[in-house]
Amino acid sequence: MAHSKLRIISKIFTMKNFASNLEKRMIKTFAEHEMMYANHPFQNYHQNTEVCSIAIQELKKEYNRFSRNRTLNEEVIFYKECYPIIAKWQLYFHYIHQLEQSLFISYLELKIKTYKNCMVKLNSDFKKKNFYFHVY
Amino acid sequence: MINDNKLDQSIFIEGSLNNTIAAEFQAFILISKYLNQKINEFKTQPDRQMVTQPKVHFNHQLNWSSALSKCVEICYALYLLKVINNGNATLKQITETFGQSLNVDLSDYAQSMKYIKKRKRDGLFLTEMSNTLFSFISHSNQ
Repeated sequence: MAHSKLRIISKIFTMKNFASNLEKRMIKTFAEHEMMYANHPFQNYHQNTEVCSIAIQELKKEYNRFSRNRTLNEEVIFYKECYPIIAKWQLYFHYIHQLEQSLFISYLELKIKTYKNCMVKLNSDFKKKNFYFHVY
Repeated sequence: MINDNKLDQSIFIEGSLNNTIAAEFQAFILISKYLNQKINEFKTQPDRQMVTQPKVHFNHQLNWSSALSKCVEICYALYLLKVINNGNATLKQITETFGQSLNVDLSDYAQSMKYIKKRKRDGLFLTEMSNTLFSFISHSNQ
């Protein structure tokens, strides 16, 4: 019993560790992309989104490898604590990519107005529990 | 919501539509930071543009090639006629804009005005301007 509990804890620890290491690698890649695509911000955001989706696939692969006979508890921990570490970046870059593309030709005042509108809409969506990211 | 252990199983399980809820919540924080940062950046940017843009545009295009006092005369006339910004533009704003656009230093406009006042009315540059324009119009009408 004690042995199986220890096994689960170690498995969870390894999974979390893997996710945080993956995030560190991703952040390093984001910095490289920022240098590489300094004059092409859309390309930068697009590449970062791609990196994130590859990282999510990697994480899921690792998760499947570690827990072939996974329990519900392990599944919850994966989706609650490991998956968000990587997925948040994908959502973030996807949103910014869409937003910046829509504002590409806009003048300064319109840009400020749109950023402010986005903030207001995001806040109101979260208050209403609409957990979707739309670019307005 | 993340610390509510009772709801964990119903929220964070594979196949559930809610399984990205924690990620979305964290992404929301990141996006908010990004938007705030952008808004703050743009708040300071217009001042920089006001200073730098005219220099880029005007520096090498048009140069005032006559006496400074003549340019000051025009600025004063425009200021007194209240023809810029419905009369809300200050003399300093007008002289600065002229100075930047025509690549001339009009910071000492008050001193120049003293010399202009000492001159006779006929010696004004604006009189010369109006005479030239009238003669051009009358010649073109003939």
